[in-house]
Amino acid sequence: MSALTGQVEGVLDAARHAVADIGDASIRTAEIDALATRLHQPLRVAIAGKVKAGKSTLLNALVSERLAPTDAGECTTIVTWYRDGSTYRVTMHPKASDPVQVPFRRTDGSLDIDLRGTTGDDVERLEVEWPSAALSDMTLIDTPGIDSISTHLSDRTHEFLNADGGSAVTDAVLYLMRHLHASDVRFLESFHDQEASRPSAINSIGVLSRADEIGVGRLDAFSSAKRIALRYSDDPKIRRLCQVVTPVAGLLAETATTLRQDEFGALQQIAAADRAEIDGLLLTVDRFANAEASVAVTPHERQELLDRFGIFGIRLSCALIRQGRATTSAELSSALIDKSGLGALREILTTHLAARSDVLRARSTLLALDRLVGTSGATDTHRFDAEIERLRSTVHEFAEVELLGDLRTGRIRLAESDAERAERLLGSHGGLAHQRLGADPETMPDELTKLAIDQHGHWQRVSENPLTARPAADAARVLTRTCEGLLVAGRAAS
Amino acid sequence: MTTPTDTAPPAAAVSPERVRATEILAAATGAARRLERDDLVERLTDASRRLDRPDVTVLVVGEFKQGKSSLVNALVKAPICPVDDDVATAVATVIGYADRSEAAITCETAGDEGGEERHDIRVGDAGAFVLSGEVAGTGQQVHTVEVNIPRKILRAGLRVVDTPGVGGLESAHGRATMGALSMADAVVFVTDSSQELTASELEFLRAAHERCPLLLCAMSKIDIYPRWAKIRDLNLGHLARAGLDIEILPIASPLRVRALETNDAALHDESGYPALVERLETSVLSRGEAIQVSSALGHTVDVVEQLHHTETTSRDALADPTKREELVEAAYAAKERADAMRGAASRWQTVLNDGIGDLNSDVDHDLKTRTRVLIAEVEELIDENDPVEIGDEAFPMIEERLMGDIAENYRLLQSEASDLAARVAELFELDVAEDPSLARMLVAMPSVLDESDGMDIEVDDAPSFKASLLTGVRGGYGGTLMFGMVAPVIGLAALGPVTLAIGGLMGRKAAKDERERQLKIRRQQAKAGVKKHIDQVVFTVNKHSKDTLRQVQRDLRDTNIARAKELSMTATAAMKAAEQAVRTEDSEREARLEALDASIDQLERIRTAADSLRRQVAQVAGGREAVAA
Repeated sequence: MSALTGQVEGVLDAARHAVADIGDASIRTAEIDALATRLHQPLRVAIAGKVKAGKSTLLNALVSERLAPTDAGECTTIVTWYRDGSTYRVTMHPKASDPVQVPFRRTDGSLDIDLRGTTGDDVERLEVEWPSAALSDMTLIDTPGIDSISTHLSDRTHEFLNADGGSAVTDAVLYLMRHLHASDVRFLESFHDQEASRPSAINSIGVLSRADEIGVGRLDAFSSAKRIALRYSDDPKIRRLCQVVTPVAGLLAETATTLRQDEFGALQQIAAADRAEIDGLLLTVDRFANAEASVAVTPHERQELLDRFGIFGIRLSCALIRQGRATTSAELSSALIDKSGLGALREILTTHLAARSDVLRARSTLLALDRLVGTSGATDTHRFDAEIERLRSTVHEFAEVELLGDLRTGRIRLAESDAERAERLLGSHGGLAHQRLGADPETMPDELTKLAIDQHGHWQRVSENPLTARPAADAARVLTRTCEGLLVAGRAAS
Repeated sequence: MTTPTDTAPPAAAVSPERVRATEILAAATGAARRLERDDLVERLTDASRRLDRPDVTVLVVGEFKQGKSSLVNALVKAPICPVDDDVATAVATVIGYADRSEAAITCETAGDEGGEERHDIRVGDAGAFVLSGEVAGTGQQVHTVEVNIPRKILRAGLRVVDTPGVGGLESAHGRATMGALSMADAVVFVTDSSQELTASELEFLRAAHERCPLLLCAMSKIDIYPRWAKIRDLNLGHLARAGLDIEILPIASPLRVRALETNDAALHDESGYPALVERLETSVLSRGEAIQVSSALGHTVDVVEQLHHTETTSRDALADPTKREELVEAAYAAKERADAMRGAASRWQTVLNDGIGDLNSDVDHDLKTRTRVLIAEVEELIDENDPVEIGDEAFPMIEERLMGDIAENYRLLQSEASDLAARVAELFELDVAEDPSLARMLVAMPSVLDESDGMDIEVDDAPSFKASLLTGVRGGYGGTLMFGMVAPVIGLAALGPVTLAIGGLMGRKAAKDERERQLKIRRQQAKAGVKKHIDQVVFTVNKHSKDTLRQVQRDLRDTNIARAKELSMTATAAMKAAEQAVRTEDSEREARLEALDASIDQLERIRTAADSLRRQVAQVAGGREAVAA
């Protein structure tokens, strides 16, 4: 247990104490106990975004299994949790009654859950327990798309992310965006907790989804997607809402993680066939699926390939096979994981979310507690208020989170040459030491120590310079402490 | 794709109505030439030229990145609109016909005075202006880009406008586009096959359906989405549930381009473009054509009437010598009166000049009232909040409201200008009616502006004044004038966002003791910034309204003066004919009378033919209108 988690438990105790005297104390205490349990559970990450952004597809890719049903039309209608468990089990949480276990089947891999006559409107959420290594660090939460024509589906997502204490239900969010529209940004804003009305970029990651479609299926589509993601990452409006934006071709990623040998075989045959004929086939989806061809892959099989890979994925796979870069299905799978951007996204999840899961969990727990105690009607909240305030003001991680938010929204401005370095130091590019110091992963520990000492001196000078404005000087002090933390951790490691 | 250098092939298939109208026009032109009325010949030649090319504006709209520019390029077979994976179209691009390729931009004037200026540019440079939205170097905002190229589909009279993506109905672009919709003849809504229509797209379609007579939905990118047919069916379901009768046309722009390059007819069919082009030609162009034919026939009837008057005067004088004196006198009086009507003191001119003045101040006042309300609301908002806190939500809101106000303001201008044109034309007719001789010359008088809702054609036995007013010169510059207002409304949305105007605002967290003072300063700065921005936009819009009205005034004046001049010449001709009859030898009289009777008979036949064809066209157009509504 980290020191931070221990401190949060202290606040939980204070909260229990505060609600001990009120009428429905047992209910509140149970809620507090639930929060306490959560502190030791995997990080809860919601996957949200506009309708048809590819949320379920991405979820499947991250779990490497086709669990969530996907379809050309709108599909996900109920908020669904996917968590690691010892057994395969689906639990339905109705709005008005107790959770109940429900039967399920798997059709074509994806879950077909029997709600036993309950309509989607009456279900608060579904919880899928699934033994999976991919879920051991993170519980993933699939949501219905916003801007759905069925407005009640949109409402369910807004409800989920905004419900009383709702933003505390999740610790972080992956926000899938295609091309950014006004309604996307409004939605992203609604996710952010209203604590001191300061949106913070700390707990959300932007995913430029369906990246393969940006270049309308061209082979170089992905480089365009990278360029766009980079631009989004630099856009002030998006910067204040999410840490980073990374492109992912969801369908390709899902297929890559669940690639079958027979699919690889079919692709090999297509890649080996006459180039001109194949180019003609690949001109349109209709031709590929229906046209007569000399290839020994039936139109029916081709249609299935299209559904799994998309036209871009087939073109790309054929190119990889022809170039000899994918001679086995395992090689093709790993090449596609790389090409689809899934590899990069996994990396970011590790560095940006998993690495600071303590802080994220503590944050969402405190927010939930604050709201819980505040609305409970408890009168003797003195100790609780003091505890929570003490934690907020003394825990350096919170100061970092707040400062990063301030820098990104422009509330605090540093000299231009300092700004990027400061954000990096605060963990904008990941929470590991080398990421914070802007060094290569291979950098030796004493080299890192030297970098940390350099930065320490720099920020100290900034904070002590009489010409530095007060807010900037405060910021520099936080940064100085961050350097100290890195130095201490470095010494402990060596 | 080839560069737009190939010359235009012959015009598209010609409808029987147009063929018939051309014949009637040719017969009338022959008669005018025989009677040596060069002014009337010229008028008919103009009408016949316009008949060749209806003037129809098609707006291509949709959300970001749905393939609007690709559609426009594939449609006109030229890479005019830049297509980029990332950068979206920033400025409306207007593509029309010219025998040789040419391009121009309309942009704000250099400096701060908020006017508009026009520059010719190279066709190849158009794309850069469309993407950047500003003039390189000077940073002037570009409002619209105009490109004219020799293409068959355009030669038929289509003008295609590629618009920036709307990004939601409430966005500034969305409001501006919505404002422009009501001024367009047809709208092609583009949505791609990657997903069903979204809530905001459906909302946009619903609003567009109310505002525009003809709405098509093109579903793009069917070459890369395997499940496009399913998406189409889902969309049809959504449309049906929303009660919208809109046709969905699946298309694939790259296929059209490739099919044209390789001459592959099967591939061309797969691209879906033949169907789209067919719809544009049948539904959109034929509607424009109906108006055009009707207008040309209006001119014909008018001209024939004047020739008829000269000829009957001549015959009457010849047939009954006692009447000669009287006929000459009447013709002389008519000429005097027609000449007077060309003078600046004539009634219609006074009404026109006063009307334009009133209109100027009405439109100005309307916009000022609207923006004053907006400014008041914004100031209240700023007083209640810290500008730094609300900035990001408030500024787009201001922008959206402003665009909505401007669109409403343009609509006001348009409808009032049409009213004025009708009033002036009515007065002109009244002046004419006071002189029996003049009145006889002018049974049908076409006028300048068409009402905004276009096809309100009355079908009477006799072509009424109202009918000719509505169908009259619409095909002339009425359309151009109306179009002139479409593009700026969209273009204005490209003006610098209000956020920029008060950019320096966001920042510096104040020290505790200074907080109050700083907040006050921030509020003042924010108010001043917003006000300055709105003033600038209002100034630009005002300038544009004034220019538009000046054009309306000039057009109305020129048309009516030309008409008065014609009447004067007709009266002169009648006078001469009557005088000539005095000198006719008895031996020639019989032959002359016979020739005159034949000529009159021919004119009457032309007129009857024109009248009946006009009724027929009006019914066709009116009937189609009923279907669309």
